[in-house]
Amino acid sequence: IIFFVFALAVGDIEEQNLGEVVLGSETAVLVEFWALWCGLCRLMHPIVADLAKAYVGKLRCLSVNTDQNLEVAMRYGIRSIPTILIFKDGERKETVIGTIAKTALAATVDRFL
Amino acid sequence: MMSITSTAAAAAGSPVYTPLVPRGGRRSRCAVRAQAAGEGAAAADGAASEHKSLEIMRKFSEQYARRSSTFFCSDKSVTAVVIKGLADHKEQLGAPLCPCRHYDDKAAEAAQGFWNCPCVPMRERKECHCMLFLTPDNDFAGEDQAISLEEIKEATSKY
Repeated sequence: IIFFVFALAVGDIEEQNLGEVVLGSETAVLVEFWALWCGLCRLMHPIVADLAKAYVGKLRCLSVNTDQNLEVAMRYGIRSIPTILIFKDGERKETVIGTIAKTALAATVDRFL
Repeated sequence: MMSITSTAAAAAGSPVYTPLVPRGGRRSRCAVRAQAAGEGAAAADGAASEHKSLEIMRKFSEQYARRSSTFFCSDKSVTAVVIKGLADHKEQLGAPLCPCRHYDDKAAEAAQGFWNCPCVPMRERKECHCMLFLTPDNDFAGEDQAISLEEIKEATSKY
């Protein structure tokens, strides 16, 4: 059930599309960079999924597997994982590295809605 | 910097994780491995070697936690996933490169050594951003310095 929600709410994205989505989106875009065997990423996934549900229509949430999207990870200078980037109007506005509480992440997102 | 609050700790307590295998992810990794190992007996050797790496990294993690007076995460699935990541890197690269970072060139990074576990920040300042080794004052720290192979397999088999 949780997987279903996550899959619906948070789109996995291929690298060639990320730039277009970020530039073309009218709403803010949240991108979570993760890797398969990163333990903290597993803590962040449900938080991002919850946020995606709570902000439907106001925030677009995407996830990027850094191992499968080397180019995009390099382009955005991703080092520590998980890293969350928030974009608005095609510009990178915020970077969150590591774990963050849902309330804190929501407060960060609120600044760009 | 990592931002850790008690709210995050509460969220961490609920083991509601989503399966993370991306489309075709597991299949393609297996294909690479099968190719590298060849067929039949060689493939069985590969599985045995993988198991051995996992056991080496499991034992290392327990020993290093005790030696550094650090503890595993209260949510042991975090511990399990990281140990699995270390074992995979040891298998692929010959060194347990930190699985919680992105590298432009993993092989070069493993040869360089800075992020091989225990990494330099851990050895110098007990900073493990993977949350494998946590100092007792960390909100996420549990009470264990041991994890069984079964626990690791249980937590990682679904991915």
